[in-house]
Amino acid sequence: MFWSKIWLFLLAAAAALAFTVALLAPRPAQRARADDERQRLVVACDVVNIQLKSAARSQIDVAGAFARQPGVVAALAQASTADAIELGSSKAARELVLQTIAGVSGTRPDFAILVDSRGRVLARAGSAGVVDDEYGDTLGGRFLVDDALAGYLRDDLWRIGTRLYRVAGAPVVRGGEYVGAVIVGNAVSKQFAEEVMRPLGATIGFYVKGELAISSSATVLDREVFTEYGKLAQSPADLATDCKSGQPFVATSGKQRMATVIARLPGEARFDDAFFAVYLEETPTQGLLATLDQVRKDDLSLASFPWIPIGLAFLAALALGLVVMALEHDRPVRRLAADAVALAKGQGERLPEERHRGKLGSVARSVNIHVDKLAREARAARRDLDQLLGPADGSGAALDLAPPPPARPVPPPAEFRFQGGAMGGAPELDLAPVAPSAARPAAPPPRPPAVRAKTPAPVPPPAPVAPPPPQALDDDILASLSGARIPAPPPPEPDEDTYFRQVFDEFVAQKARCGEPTAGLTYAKFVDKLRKNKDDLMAKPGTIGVRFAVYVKDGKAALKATPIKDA
Amino acid sequence: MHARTPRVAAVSLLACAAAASVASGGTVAGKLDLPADLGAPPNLGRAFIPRLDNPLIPVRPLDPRPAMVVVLEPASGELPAGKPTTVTWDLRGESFARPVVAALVGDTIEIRNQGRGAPVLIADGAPQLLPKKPLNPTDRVAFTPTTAGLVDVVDTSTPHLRGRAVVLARGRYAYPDAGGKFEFLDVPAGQWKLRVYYAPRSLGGAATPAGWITGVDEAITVGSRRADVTVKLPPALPVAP
Repeated sequence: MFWSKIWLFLLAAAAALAFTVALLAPRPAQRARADDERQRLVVACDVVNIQLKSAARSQIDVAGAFARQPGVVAALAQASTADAIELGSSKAARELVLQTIAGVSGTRPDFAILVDSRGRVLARAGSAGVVDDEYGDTLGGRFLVDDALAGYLRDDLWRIGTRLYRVAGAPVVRGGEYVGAVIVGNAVSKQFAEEVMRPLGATIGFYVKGELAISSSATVLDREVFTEYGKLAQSPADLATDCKSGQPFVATSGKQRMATVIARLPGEARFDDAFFAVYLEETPTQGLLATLDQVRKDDLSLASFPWIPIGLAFLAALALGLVVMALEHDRPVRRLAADAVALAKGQGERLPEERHRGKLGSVARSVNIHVDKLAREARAARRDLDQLLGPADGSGAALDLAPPPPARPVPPPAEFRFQGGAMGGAPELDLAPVAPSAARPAAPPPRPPAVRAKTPAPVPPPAPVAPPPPQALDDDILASLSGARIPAPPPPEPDEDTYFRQVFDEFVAQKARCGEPTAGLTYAKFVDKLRKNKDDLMAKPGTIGVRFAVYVKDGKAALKATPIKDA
Repeated sequence: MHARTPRVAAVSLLACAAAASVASGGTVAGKLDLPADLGAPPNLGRAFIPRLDNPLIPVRPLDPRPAMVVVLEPASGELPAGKPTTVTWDLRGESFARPVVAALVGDTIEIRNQGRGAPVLIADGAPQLLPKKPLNPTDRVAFTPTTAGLVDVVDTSTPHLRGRAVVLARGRYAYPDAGGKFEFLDVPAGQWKLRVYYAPRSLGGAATPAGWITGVDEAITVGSRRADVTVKLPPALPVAP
């Protein structure tokens, strides 16, 4: 069984290992996926900055082209020399601005503003709701306007109300002098956010002044985003490094968990706490069951799954297990069973212990010990009779009339049980009827329940013991050993005296035939010995009767007692 | 009655004489001579791409004059305390009409909003001077500094709307024009010292250093005649508090 146990241990270890692997396998994949998502977020964040830069460049180009329009140049040159901006000139300039915006190819600005050299607004024009038609106020002072009036082209990000605007400015030059500037702007709209995110498959939200200005989706992230921005806002690092240095975090929107990265926005809007957040829906944690749920039919196809090696491995494991079991369990048990059957058939006296190892060897040894014990007891009984009746020592005495040696303590037979003896009271004799062994049923009939009498019941006569069939092993053995003539079956208990008388007569006659003296051999003494010997044998478990046989041993008459076993 | 009339007349005559002696001061005029190369205007922050020079003509160099105040201080002694005045400071949209304004201790500086917005102006570092509330269009707010120094007035809602008020303990002040010229009228006769205060623009965050331009202490003797002076400003316009 050693290899069976080893094999069972290996199988259990393999199963535990497989289960552990199955539980652990999704985790590295989950981590790798989370890392990929974070990397994707960082890339998306960088791409947003790149796209914002590209859009700023395009806007500056538009502003520059706008500033070179002759009508714009003329209008601003005239306004710069005037003490005040007139309504008429502003209206004319406004119409001019609208026409110019309409002529822009590509992304048209949402609004445009003409500023004279003093920073005064000559005209505003654009989409409804974005700018009004006010004029004459001073826009100079804004960084972009001042830079444009100084001769620079640049972009900026403005907060107007709760919205963000991407703006660009360009100086207007006439005759070698600066006569004003043109400012064009585009709202950071939902459409713009969607266009920025379209190639990235992520979501973006623009925030300013602690509020969400615009988002590319309906998902709104607030609490965690502002908390993280609070940390980022204190960072002295360059804004351009926010995407790469920022640590993605998880923000929630209802039941959605979003992996998020944020980056500050530059320009004037920076001072209004403007930033953007790029977020992806976080991949749910993949456990074993969730992983199995995602298994597709293709994954189990013969082409993509190693069914054959797995099947072969299974068959190999099964075959090895069966072989080990056959070698260590089935075959030894069959061998022991065959030996036991052979023993039962009398084809041997003992089980061959050397053929059985391990536990089965122990079983065989235990059986053999019991067989040996029975044999020893049989020999002891025979020796007792020989000492009692036979001429074991050659003295010619027909009967040993000497007092018998102290009898060995013998446990009471199964049929005799003393009850209450330990309590000091009178022992109660429980006499179970002894089943006749003549029929030798295949299975012993159930014993009737013992009858307990409060007063000593009359002892029923012992059941007549049928003589064992000739094929009984014990009889065969004893008969083959002695060649003795077996007297008639023992008579029923009431005829025990008759039987003992018959045995006594045969014994006396045999002694006479052997020329042995019979003086001193009395029937009473002979019967006492017989009864004592019978009682000893009857004390053996399974003994239901005793037969006595007279035979000649070494030229002298001898007597053998043979126990009759229960079937 | 008749006896009092000559005394009153005499006192009035003396008062008029004294007043005439003060009002009859000279004039100090001059010009700020800027260093040759002040470089490009300061970088007013950037957004997604750096600012680009326009390809048509050179960009304008830095013009520091709007951020300067020329101050005339008596070389010794004290001037008689003048009557406190109100200095108006116009707010025009996204900027002040003058980025730097000057006043004497005790003067009232009144900010008038001539723009369309409603900024929330505060005195940076001196919150007691200005109430923190929106200044609506056409509305005005005033404050009276009690100590000399620089008061930064900032809009809490924008990074660009900044103004700086120079509060002087004594003396007189004048603003240079676009050409750098300045003029003091009715300057009492005596020894004076001319200094230039420079408060460049603050850019959103912390205030940029401001103070007296070093090496510009011009001693001027004011008499009954006009005194002309040319103040040569050092390169890089170093300042000291």
